[in-house]
Amino acid sequence: MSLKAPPSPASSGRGRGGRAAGPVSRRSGIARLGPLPWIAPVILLILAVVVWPVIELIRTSFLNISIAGKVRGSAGTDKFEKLFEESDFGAVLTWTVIWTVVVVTATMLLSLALAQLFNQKFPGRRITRWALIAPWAASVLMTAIGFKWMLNQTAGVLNTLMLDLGLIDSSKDWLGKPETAWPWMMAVAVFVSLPFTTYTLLAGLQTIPQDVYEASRIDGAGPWQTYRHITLPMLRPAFLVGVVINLINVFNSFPIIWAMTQGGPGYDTSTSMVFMYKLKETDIGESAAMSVVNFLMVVVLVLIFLKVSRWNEED
Amino acid sequence: MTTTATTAPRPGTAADAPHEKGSGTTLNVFSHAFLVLWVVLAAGPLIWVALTAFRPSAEILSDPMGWPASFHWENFTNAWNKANIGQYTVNSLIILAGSLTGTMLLGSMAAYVIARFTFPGNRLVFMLFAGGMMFPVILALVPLFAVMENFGLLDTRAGLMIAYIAYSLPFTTFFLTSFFRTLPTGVQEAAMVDGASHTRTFFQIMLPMAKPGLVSIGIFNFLGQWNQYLLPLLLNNEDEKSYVLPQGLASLAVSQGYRGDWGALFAGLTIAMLPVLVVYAVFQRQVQAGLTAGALK
Amino acid sequence: MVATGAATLCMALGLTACGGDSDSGDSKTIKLVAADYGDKASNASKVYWNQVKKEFEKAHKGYKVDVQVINWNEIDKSVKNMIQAGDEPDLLQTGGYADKVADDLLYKADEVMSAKTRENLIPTFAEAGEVDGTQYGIPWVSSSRVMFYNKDVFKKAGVKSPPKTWDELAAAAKKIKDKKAAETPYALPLGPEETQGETMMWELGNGGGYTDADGKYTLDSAQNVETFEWLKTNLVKPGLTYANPASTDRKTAFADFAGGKVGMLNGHPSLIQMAKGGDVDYGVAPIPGKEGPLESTLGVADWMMAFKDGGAEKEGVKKFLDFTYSKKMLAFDEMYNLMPVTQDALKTMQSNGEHKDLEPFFEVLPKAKFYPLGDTSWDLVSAEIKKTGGKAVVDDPKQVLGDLQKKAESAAADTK
Repeated sequence: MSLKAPPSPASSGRGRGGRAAGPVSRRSGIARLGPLPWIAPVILLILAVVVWPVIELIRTSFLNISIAGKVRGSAGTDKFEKLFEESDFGAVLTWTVIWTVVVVTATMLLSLALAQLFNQKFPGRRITRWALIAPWAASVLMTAIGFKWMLNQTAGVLNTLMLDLGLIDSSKDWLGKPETAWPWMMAVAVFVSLPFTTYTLLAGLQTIPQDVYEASRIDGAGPWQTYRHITLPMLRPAFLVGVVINLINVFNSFPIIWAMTQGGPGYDTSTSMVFMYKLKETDIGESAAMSVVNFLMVVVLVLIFLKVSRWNEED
Repeated sequence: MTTTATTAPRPGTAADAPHEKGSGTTLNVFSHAFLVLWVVLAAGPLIWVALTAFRPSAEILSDPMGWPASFHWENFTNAWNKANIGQYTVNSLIILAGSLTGTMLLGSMAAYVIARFTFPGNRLVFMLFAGGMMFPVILALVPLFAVMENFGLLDTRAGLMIAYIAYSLPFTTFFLTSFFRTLPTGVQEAAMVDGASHTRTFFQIMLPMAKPGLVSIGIFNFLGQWNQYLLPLLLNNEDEKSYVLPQGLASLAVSQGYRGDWGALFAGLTIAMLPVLVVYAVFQRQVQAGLTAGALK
Repeated sequence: MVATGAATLCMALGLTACGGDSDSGDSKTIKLVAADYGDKASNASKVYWNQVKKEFEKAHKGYKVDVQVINWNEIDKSVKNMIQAGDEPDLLQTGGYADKVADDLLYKADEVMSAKTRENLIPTFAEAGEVDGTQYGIPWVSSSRVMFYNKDVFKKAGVKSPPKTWDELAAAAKKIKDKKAAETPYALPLGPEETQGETMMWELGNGGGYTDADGKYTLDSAQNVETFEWLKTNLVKPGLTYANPASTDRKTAFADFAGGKVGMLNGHPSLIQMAKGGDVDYGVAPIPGKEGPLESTLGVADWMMAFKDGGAEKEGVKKFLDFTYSKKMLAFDEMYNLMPVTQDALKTMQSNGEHKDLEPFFEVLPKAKFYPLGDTSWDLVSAEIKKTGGKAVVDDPKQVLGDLQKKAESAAADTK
C-alpha cells in the first residue's frame, strides 16, 4: 500500500526551476500538473471510500432486494413510494426535526454561556477547561451506553439517587417510554456536542480585540448592550461554523439513540437515521431510499441555513 | 442538563471586567455555581467510572454508588490480560499510528494545494470535501463493505487504516484549507523564487508555520479515530484478536450476562479514556491556538 | 457493477491484493458463521465451535475451519451484508432459513449430509426444515416453552398453585403485587429480541396463531386481537407487568427472574441454569391458555444451512456436518441445556438421569407448534413483528396487528 507515502519528489520537481510563480499564477504545459500529485491520492481515496458508496446507495434505492440479501431486479421508484407510505414516516420526520432543532439550539446557547465563562481568568481555570473535554474522552457510543446504565430501572444509579432523595416513589423505566426517553437522549446529545462547540466559540471570543471592549466601555455601554452589539456580531463566523457542524452531526446522529432505545418501542423514538437502519432488517431497497432522502435533507438543510445567514466563505 | 440554561448567568455579566482577561474576582455567584455544576456533570461520570474500576465486581452490582474500600488493581490486570484489553489497546495504537499519520499528511498536502494554487476545479474539489463531511459512515455501511471486500481489504490493518483516513479527510482538509489561507505568503514566495521545489517548500517552510493548526486538527482526529466504532465493527469483525479498543469494550459489555466481570469492564473503560485525557492535557494550549486561526476565517 | 468499477480503481491504484468478487481463500477452508447462545464469556458459543474446529481439523487433515460467532441481535444483518457483497459463508447456523431458499442460495440437505446422519434427525424437526417438500434447513437445536414461576414469591403472595387459565394468572399476579412479593409479578417481554415468540405463546392460548390451516397469514384475526386486548386490560394497565413491555427484551426478563425479581414468566430451558445460578427456587408448569393450559406449546428450532456459493468444496462441508452431528451435538445441548434434534442425543439425555430438569420440556415437545418456518416469507414477517409487534399492548391492537397483516400479505405475494 503506497497510499501513505508522499508523492515522489520527482513529480513535484516539475515545479522546480525558478519559474516566476506566485501563489496565484497559472503555469503552462506539464507544470500544470503541479498540484495533482499532491491531491490525487486524497481525491482518489475520498472517491473510492466515501463517494462510491453514495453512488452505490443511490443505485440500491432503485433495486428490489430480497430479505436474504440477493438482488432481484429493478424496482423503479417503488421503494420511495413504499417509504413515503409507511405509517410511521410522518412521525419519524417530525421527531427528527424536533430532535435536531432542540439539540442544536441548546448546544449553541449553552456553549455561548460556557465560552463566555471560560474566557475569564479565574483560579482553577485550567482544571475546569480540562473538564470541558471530559464528554469527549469516551466515545459517543460509550457515553450513550453509560447513560443507559445510569437510567436502568433495576440497577441504575439515577433511580437509586432519586429514590433516596425522595424525588420519586418507585424506580422508573426512563428509556422505555418516548415521553421520558426523548429528553434524556437529547440531553446526552447536547452533552457530547458541547466540547467542540464551546471550543469553537471560545476561540472566536479570543479573536475579539481588547480595544473594542475598551471603546464600548468608554462610550458608556452596559454589559448586555456590549454583548449584543459587539460580542455577538464579532462571534458570527465562529457561531456559524458551530451551527453548521452541529446541524450535520446531530441530524446524522446514530449511536446515541441506537444505544439507548434502539428507536423503540416500535418507531416512537426513531429519527430518520435510526428508521433507515431498522428498515435494513426487512427491505434493503427501502432502507437505501431512506438513506438517499436523509442525505438530501442534510444537504438542503445546510444550504438553506447558509443562504439564510448569507455566509460567504471567502469573508 | 438543559435545565441549567435557566440559571446560566447573563453573558454580559462575565464580560463586565474592566480588563477582559484581568483579575480573578469577576465571577459572580451564578457563574461560580454554573461552573461547579458543569464540572460535576461533565467530569463526574468519568471520575465515577475510574473510581468504580477499583472496586470488586460483586460490590459494583450491589452498590453502584459506593466508594472503593480498597484499591483493587487486579481489575486492571484482569482487563488487560484476561479480557484482552491489552491486545486491543495495542491494536488501536497500531491502527492509529498509520491512520493518523496518513490523515494528517494527505490532508495537509491537499489543503496546501487548494489554499495556495488556482487551478481548474479548485472550487469543485473544495466542495467535494465539504460534501464529504455531510455523509456519515452509517449511511455507507453496505456499499463500503462491498468495496472493501472487492479490494480484499476486509479484516486487514491496511483496509481499516484506509477507511479511517478516508472518513477523516473531508473534515481535516476543510479546516486545514482555511488555516493555510491565513498564513502569510511572503516566506513561501521568497523560497520559490530562490528555487526551492514544492516539496521542500511544503515540508520545510509551510508545515512548521502551520503547526498550531496541525496540532489541533491532529488532536481532533486522534479523538475521533481512537473512539471510532462503526468502521471496525463493519470491516474488522472476523478475528477477535485484531479488534480495536472500542470493539473490544463493546463485546465485553455485551457479553456481560447477569454475573459478569464488571470490574474488568470498568477498568477497560478507564484505560480507554486515559490516552485521550492525557493527550488533551498536554496539548491544551495548541488546540486553542489552532482553532483561533483556522476555523474562523 | 461493483466488481468492474473496483477492478478499474484497482489498476489505477496499483493494488495487488485485488481478489475476485467472491471466494478468496481455498476450497478446503470451510467458513462457518454461527449465532451466540451464551450469556457470558465462559459459555460463549465461540468456545464450543473452537473446540469442534480443533477436533475436526485433527481428524480430517487438510481441511481448515474458519469460525465466526455473532450475537443474535446482529447476526442476520451481518449475514445480509455478506450475501450482498457476494461473500457468503459455507455454513450458517441461525434462526431461519426459508428466505435463503427463496433466492436459491442453499444446498439441499441430502447434498451435504450423509444418509446415516439424516436418519438420526428427529423426524418432526427434519420435516420443519422442508420448503415445499424438499429439506433445506437442517435442524440444530430445539426448545419448547413452559411457564416458570418463583416458588418463594408464590408462597409470600399466598398463591397456592401455578395458574392454569388467563384469569387465574391475572389473579395470581394481582396477589403478588398486593403483597409486594416481587417487583414484577408477570414478566412480559415484547421488546425486539423475541417478540414473535412471546406473542405466539399468548395467541396459542386463545386458539389463534400466525397462520391458518392453509398457511395463509392470520396476524390480525379476531382471536389474536382479543388476546392483546386482554393483555392490555388485565396485565399492562393494572401495572402487573413491566411499564413498557414493548421495549423490554427477553434477556431483561430472564435476568430479572434469575435475580428473584419476577413472579412468573414464559421461559425456555436455558433459564433453568440462570435460575439455579441466582439461587431461585423455581417451578415449571404448562403455559396457561384462556380456558386451560396449552395443549400445544411453542416449539422453536434453530437451523444449520449450507450455501452453494460459499467457496468450500461440497465434500468438506459434508464431512464437517457429519462430524458435528454425530459426535458434537450432545456437547452443545448440554452446554446450554437445550433440547436435542438428533435421536441418539435425545436418548442419551433422557436416560443418563442428568437432565431431570428437562423432563417437562421433553414431555411437551412432541406436540409443539412451530412458526411457519417453511414459508419463504416468514423471515420478513418475523422481522416486522419484532419491530412493531410490542406496540399491540400500547396502542390499539386492531390497528397494530392490521398493519402487520398488510405487511405479511405483501411479503407473501412478493415471494410467490
